[in-house]
Formats: sequence, C-alpha cells, structure tokens
Amino acid sequence: MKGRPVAIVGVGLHPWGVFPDRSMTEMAVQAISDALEDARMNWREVDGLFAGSYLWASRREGLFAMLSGLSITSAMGGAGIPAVSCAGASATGQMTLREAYMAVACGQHDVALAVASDKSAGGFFQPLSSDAEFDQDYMRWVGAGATGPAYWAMECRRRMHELGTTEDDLAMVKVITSKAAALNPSARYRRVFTREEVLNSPCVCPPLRLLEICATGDGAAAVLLCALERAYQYTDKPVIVDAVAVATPSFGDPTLWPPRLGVWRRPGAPSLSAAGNCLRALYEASGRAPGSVDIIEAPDNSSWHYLAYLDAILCAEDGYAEKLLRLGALDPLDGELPVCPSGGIGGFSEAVAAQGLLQVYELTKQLRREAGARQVKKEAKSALSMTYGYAGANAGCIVSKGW
Amino acid sequence: MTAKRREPVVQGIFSWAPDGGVRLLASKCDVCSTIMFPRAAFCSNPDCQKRRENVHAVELTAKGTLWSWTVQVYRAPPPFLSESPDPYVVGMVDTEEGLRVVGLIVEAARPEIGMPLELTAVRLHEDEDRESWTWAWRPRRDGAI
Repeated sequence: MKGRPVAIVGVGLHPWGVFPDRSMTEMAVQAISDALEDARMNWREVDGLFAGSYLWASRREGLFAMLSGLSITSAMGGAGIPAVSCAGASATGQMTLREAYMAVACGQHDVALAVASDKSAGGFFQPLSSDAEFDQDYMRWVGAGATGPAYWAMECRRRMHELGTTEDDLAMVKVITSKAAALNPSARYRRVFTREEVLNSPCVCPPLRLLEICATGDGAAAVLLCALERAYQYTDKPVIVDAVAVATPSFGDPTLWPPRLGVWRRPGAPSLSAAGNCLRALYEASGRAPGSVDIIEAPDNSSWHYLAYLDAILCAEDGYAEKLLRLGALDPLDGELPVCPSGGIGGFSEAVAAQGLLQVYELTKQLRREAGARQVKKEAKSALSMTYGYAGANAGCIVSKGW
Repeated sequence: MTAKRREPVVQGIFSWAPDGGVRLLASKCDVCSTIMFPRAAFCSNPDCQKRRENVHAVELTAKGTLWSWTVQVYRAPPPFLSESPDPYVVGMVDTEEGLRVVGLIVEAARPEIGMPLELTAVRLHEDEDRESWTWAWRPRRDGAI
C-alpha cells in the first residue's frame, strides 16, 4: 500500500458472550487496556482513536453507542485526541482499522487505535425505524417477514442447487470450526459439535440449521497500529498491515444483500460483488497473488457464508471450498489452509461492529505463535481476514510477519 | 356491514390493478431503462445522470420465476404482524423486467427453484376498520412454463 509501512504492535480483547451488566464503553476500555499492555504502551502515547459505532443505539445506550469514540476516550481519560466513529455494520471493525491505518501511513499519527465494542445479543436483527416511506429495512420486515438468516438460507439453497453442496458439507463447517472454538478461552461456545449434533439441530430457515448459523452476541476488540519505524519500541514481533480495504456492491450485481427488498440484475454482472471488490483491492494493494495467504479468518456467519466467501477469497471456481472441505484441508488447527482458527463467528457469535477486529486480533496472535492450544500447526507468514455485512458492507485485511 | 378498507402494508409498494391483479410499483429510468424497486428518485446506474425528470413510476408485469426460497420456521418478531402463527415461505423472485425481489410465497405446496410465479396479495392482519395486505407470489395459474 502507499505511504509509510504500518505495523500492529498490540491487540486486546474483551471475551465474547452476553454481558447485560456491562456497557459497551467499559467493554471497549477492557479491550484497549489489554492491547496497551500487549504493546507495553501508555494511553497517552495514542495519537488518534477510530471507534466502531453500534447500530441498534435506539435500544441500547443511545447516543453514546453511536458516538462511541467520544464515549471511549472519555472513559479512558480525556486526552484531547481525535476520535472518529465509524458505522459499517459487520464491516465496521476493519473500517476502523482502515481509518487508523491511513492516519499512520500518511504521517498524521504515529500511533493509532482501532476499537469496536458491540452488544448485539438478543435474536434476529430487527429494523431500527417504522418509517414506511424510506426505510427499506422496515419494508422488507413488515412486507415479507424475511429475517437475515432467511436471506442466507436462500443463497445457500441456490448454492446447493447449482454446485451440489450437501447437508453434510454445511454441517462439517460447524464441526471443524468448533474444534478451534473449544480451545479458545475468549470464545462464547467452547465445545466441539459432532456432525450428528449439527444435523439434528432444528432448522431455522431450511436448509440452514441452528448450529449452522451464528448467534448474536456481545464482545469488544482493540488493535494498536504504529509506524513500522517506531514499532520495535513496543514489540519484537510487529505484524505488518499489507492491505486493508472496505468495499461496496457494484451496480447490476444480482445479489440481494439483506435487508434489500429488490435489486436490478444487469446481465453479466458478478454476484457477491462487494466481496470481489474488497478482495481485488486487498490483493492489488498487498502485491500478493490471489489466494496466496497462509491462514484465513472467513466470515462464517452461516455455513453458506463460509463456503461462498472461501471461493471468493481464493479466487477459485465456485464449489472449490467444498472440495477443500471434503479433503480436510480447511481444518482450523492442522489443515493445509487453516480457516477460522479463532473458532469463527460461529464459535464467538456475532457482535456486529467488533467481529472484524476480533479476526485481526486472532491473526496477530497466530502469526506471533501466541495462540496457545489453538495455534495452527502450519508455519504461517501471512493471513487474511474478511467480514460480510448488511447491505453489502464488506471489509478485510491482509497482514504478515514483520520479523 | 360495510367491508373494511384494504390497505397495502407499505403505502406505494404495490397496488391493485383494475383487473383485480396486483402490481409492484417501481421506478424506471427513461435514459438507460434501469428499474428500481422499491421506488427511487434517481437512476441507480453509476453511468447515468442523476436527474429527477428522467425517472418515472412504473407497474411491474406481475410475473416472475423463483430464484430461491426458504421457510421462516421461527416467525419474524414485530413489526412483522401476521395472523397466522405458522411457518411461512419466503422467496427471491426474478421478475420479467430484470429485478430480483424478496417476498412471501403462498399456495405452493412444494416450492421449486425455477417455478413460474405470479403476483398476488394476502391479508396479514386487520383492526377495527381496515385490513393490512402484503404482496406475495404464488404458482402461475396460466399454465405457462
């Protein structure tokens, strides 16, 4: 990428789960403290903060859930630094990373903090307004009763129809990712699920079953970025940010990104275009050949996401992910291509704004070989993370060992 | 006893045609022929001008094919209001005009990808003086394949 090289020098996490007694701000402070300790850094050394905004602010914590940057700097202790709040649904985490990255790369800041905290626990995501004139999210809800998982299930059925994806494939995604989640002390669902358990879990939106769809949950994560030239002040193992990108869908893409009600299909336009746009930007900026990364944190919001996004990430023909899955190549611990060594969003649950930074946390720990029991066996030098979100919000990054 | 007033669940999203049929209400660009649903003030083609006067309201033909479908086993909570407590089918439908739209699928015992559909309307709920109706797709009855 252009500008001066930027490294991750500290990462922090508030565990994932359901935390009705904690505010999002205090969860963010815990994640930041963890990151500062990791970098042996003081709060006063942070030049700028980029925070994720919470989407359901009218239900929880109100104005300061949206103005998260102001709330978090105040709770950390007012240092007078700039605080930018970013809203990008599930792409929010890496959106904050991109803003922090650019601030350092261009020389405006030496140290920048990306942080996101989110309390999404509580079932299906619902519309935020009852504006029947302009809120398309409200319209699809009252008119079609279509939840987020319904959109995913329809994509999944179509994938099975076109590519021969089996119910077994869908179940195996959960089975293998749960192996890593069981070993991750910060994950919400720390247990291994068997194929039978997954296949016997109730259908939420067929063909997708309860254990093939992520739950909604609470969590927070923080990532400290520093100019590479100063990174060794803070760490022996700087993880270089090779590329970070945020993308949107292209005109004519036939994909109905939830909560859209209708889309114009232009002949020849690719589907899942936001993912393709994001990945093209990542590979171009990093100078890497498409698919040439050692570890992947994929968006496993459902088993369909995992498979469809792996095809996109690897720039492979449709259905390649199923082939790799059946060969056992995607095992998160000892696969040739470890995917979701964190345990994934399936193992953590979806804390919308924070999940992108959770992925970056995980990849940093993996590259440093500090991931404990869930450390991937493979010798990994580079890693990619990617998130999928509302209305086509897609974001990702590629990071690599800087030592 | 007078009949209750029938109202679309969202005003301006569909209408009842004089022939009794149901039509989705969309917007079309005169310049590039892009169609937008729900209605929009400007053409969504990135290479087309943003001029209000280029875009006008159109009714869709009410025919489509089923791109994919699912069953909402657990009902969506409010503001979705439906009298029936049963699971319901939701589909993505490719319309003849080139849109893909989300909507309820009704009267289909066994929905199948590629099934020809036509638009109808179903009652969701009622109060003292009006009924709330939504658009929905059902298997086409004209025998078309």
